[in-house]
Amino acid sequence: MSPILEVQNVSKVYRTDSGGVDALRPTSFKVERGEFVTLIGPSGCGKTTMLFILAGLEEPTDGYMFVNGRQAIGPGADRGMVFQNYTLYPWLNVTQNILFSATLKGFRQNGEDSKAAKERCSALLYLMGLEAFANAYPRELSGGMKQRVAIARALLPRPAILLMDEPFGALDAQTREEIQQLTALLSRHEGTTVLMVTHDVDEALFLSTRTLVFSPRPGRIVDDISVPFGDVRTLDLKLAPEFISLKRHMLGLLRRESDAHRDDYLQRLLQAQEPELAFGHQLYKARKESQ
Amino acid sequence: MSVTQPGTTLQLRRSIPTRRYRLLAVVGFVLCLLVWQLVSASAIVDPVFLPSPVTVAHTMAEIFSDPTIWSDLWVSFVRVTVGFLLSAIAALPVGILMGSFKPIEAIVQPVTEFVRYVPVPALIPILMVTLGIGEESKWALIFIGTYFQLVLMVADEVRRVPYELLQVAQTLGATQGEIIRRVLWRSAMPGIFDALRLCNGWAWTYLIVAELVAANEGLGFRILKFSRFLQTPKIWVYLILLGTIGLLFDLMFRALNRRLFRWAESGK
Repeated sequence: MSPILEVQNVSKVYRTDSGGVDALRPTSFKVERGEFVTLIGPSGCGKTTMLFILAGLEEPTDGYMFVNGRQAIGPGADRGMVFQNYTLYPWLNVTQNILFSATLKGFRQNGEDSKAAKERCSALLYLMGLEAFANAYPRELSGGMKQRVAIARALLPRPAILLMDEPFGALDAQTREEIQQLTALLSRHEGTTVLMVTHDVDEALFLSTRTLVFSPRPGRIVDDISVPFGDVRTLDLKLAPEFISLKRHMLGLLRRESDAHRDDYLQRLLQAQEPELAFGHQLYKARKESQ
Repeated sequence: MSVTQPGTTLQLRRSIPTRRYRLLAVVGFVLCLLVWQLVSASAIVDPVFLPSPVTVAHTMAEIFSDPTIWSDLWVSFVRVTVGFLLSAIAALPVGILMGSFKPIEAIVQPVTEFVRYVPVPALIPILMVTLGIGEESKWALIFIGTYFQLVLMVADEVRRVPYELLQVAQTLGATQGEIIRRVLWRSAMPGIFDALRLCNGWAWTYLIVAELVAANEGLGFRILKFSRFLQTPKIWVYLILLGTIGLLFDLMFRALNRRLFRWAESGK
């Protein structure tokens, strides 16, 4: 059986007036059915670009991607997306937001029936603990609840892959842990394949079965780490020695990459021979020695 | 020191109770009346030009006992409404398409911006030559006065819809047509409704301009007639009426907006 997602040499160069900016170097990877993959890396490393390309919202400069063995071009309901910000439709209530995809032409053409969609919507409301808010409008919901609705909305058409762009970044720590656990359980329960962008190492290790570590811009995958913590994970895991040693490894990777970049920048600044920048280098050296 | 300073009555952007707001609004009107009364009593301005509020009040009672005012109001109202509706019906689809597709914007927007800066009253001679002095020329003037503004405002509102709302719809499998109808239009509706409110106000202005130049009835025509006979108290009555009509329409649009788009209110 073919992998659920195959990415072949996908790259992205942003065209500007003065040439091009490399955002993503040619990247290839495969994702098997049921995997929970996180993409991690420093900000601006192209991980979000990768996710948007997978969603079909951005065009790759080069390369191909295959979903279930078929080439995917442009956005489609086979790849659900949860955004960083709350993107609920404010004029629709929770139920109507979740059912949005079921009211579209493409859904009806696929021979799906709306009664089944409504049943699935109730099931998702129940799983997400949102039954009491079925008729509430987005402005009446907290950030965590809004994001739960957004996840339910993306899951309604049973996408082959659920793509998430730092979905819990805007939440407070406690809400974030709660919704992280919920997401983990739900994706196992549904057997959904998930690709999630994050810059939080804890989050990546706690949720995923596999983590792809990206280098700073222009991004490329520098490590592919499998996360062997089983299916059901409790918050205690975050204190376990295996967890911490894997976390140390990943933080080391991320720091090495960004350190290399910082040295590179400093070198360039020194070449520019600005006196205050030489001072900056001294400061940096002093700080490094004191560590 | 805290941000809210007790003891001071004026605090930056601090909201006040609705009742106090309304009370202060009435105070504003009363102050205007007082200034008016003082100026007219001090006779700085010739009472022929600025009659006292009391005189104007008497004249108002007199005017409302005559059916002419009602027919003037009706004629003007119908003219404004026809012109305004024509403009809205034409501007909505064009504005929405302009806000949705860049090539359409590129074709329509620069031309619209150009026409927008042509002073509308300057078109009256041409309109009178081509359409006569009947109803059509009034409709046309209101249409031209509001359409080009409205199109640009509608397009702006559509462009202001967060891009992510549109991207979500794409990932859920919506077609372009569905996104325009179910996301862009729906999301822009409160803003578009507000643009209609502003345009309705401008429609009244252009109506009066048109009626002052060439008409046989209507509020603007009557004002011109009063001025020929130096009946300034009557002019003042009509001016007050025009202000009142504008204010009433404005309040009506606002109330409707709040009722129709409760979802757009911010926060809890």
